[in-house]
Amino acid sequence: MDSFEFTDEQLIAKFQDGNVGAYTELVERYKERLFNFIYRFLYDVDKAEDILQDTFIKLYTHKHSYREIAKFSTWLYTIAGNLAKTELRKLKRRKTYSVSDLSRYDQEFIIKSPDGSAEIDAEAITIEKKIQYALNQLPKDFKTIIILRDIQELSYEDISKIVDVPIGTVKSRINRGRLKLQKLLTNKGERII
Amino acid sequence: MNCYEFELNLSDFIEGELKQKDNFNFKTHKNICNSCSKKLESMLTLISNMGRMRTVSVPSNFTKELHYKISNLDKYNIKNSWRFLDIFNFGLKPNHSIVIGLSIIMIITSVVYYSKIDQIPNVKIADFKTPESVSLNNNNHFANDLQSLKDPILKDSLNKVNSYKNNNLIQKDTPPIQVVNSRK
Repeated sequence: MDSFEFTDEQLIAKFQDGNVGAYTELVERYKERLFNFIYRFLYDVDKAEDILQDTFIKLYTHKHSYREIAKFSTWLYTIAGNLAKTELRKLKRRKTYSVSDLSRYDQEFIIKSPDGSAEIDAEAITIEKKIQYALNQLPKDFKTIIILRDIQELSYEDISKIVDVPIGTVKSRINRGRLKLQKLLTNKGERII
Repeated sequence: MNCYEFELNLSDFIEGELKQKDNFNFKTHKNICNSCSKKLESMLTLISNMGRMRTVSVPSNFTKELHYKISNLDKYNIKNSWRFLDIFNFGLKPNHSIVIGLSIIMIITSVVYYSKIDQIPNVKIADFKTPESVSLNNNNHFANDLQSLKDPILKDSLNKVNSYKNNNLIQKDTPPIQVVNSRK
C-alpha cells in the first residue's frame, strides 16, 4: 500500500483549485499502472502512450467533471478505458494480431518482472505472449475486466465502478472471460500453458 | 454439483466467495471429476501467470511530452479566447479586431457626446403657469407672469425685452408678444 502525504481525492481537489503541482503528482502516481492497463488492452506501445497522454490531457481539461462521489482512481481508469476501447475499434479495422508478433516494447523498452528482477527466462516470455494473444481474441468487455482483475489486481467493487456494471455482472464476466481464455489457450484438447 | 455448475462456480471458489455449503459441494465434485479438477488447476495456473506478466515502463520522455502538449493547449485556449471577435471582423487577426472594435466604440462615443452639445433646448411654452397670452403693455401682469416662468432661456429673453422697453428702445406701439400655449 502506497503511503502519500495527500490522498488522490485531496490532490484532485487542490488541482481543481488551480494547483498544477497536484496535477503533476497525480500523473506520477498513475502513469505506470494506466500505461500497463492500456498496453495490455491495445498491445501497441505507441498507441498506449498516445492514449495515456490523452487520458492525462482529459484530466487536465475536464478536472471539474470529477465529483468526490467516486474514487479518483476509478474515474481515471474509466477515462482511460473508454479512450482505449475507442482506439481498439480503430485498430481492429486495420490490424490483425499474431502470436508471432514481436511488439515494440520487447525490442526497445526495459521490461521489469513484478518482483523487480530484470532477467526473465524465455519460457515466461513465450507464455506471456500466448496469454496476450488470447487476451486480444476476447470481446472487449471481457478483456477489460480480466486485465483489471488478473493483471492490475483491482477489487470487484472498483471494477464495477470503472466499467459501470453491477458487481454480480463483473463476477460472472470474470468467470466467463477466464473460461474463454482457457479455451483459447487450449490447442486441440492439449493445454498450451 | 454437476460439471456445468462446477464451471460456473470456478472463479467464486478461487476468490473465496462461495458459501460454505457450495464450497463443500464444489470440493466434493472436484475430488470425483478428473476433468473438472484439471480445469481448476489450469485456471489457477492461468491467473498466476497473468499476475506475473511483466510491467511495461512508460517512455522516459513521457512527462516532458505531456507538459509540452498541455502548454500548447493553454496557448491554444488563450488564442481561442479572442475568437468571439471573429463574428465582427470577418476573419481579421485578433489585434486588428481590437483596433476596429476600439475605433467603433470611440466613434459612437464621439457622436453621442457632440450630439448632446448641439442639442437645442426643448422650450416648452406649456411650462408657463401664465394665462394663454401675455401682454407686454400690462406691466403688472407681465411682472407676475415673469415670476411664474419656469424656463430660464425664455425668462431671460423676456427680461431683456422688458429692459429694452423700459429704456424706450422699443416703440410704445410695438405689438405685444404672443406666447401660445402648446397644449392647445
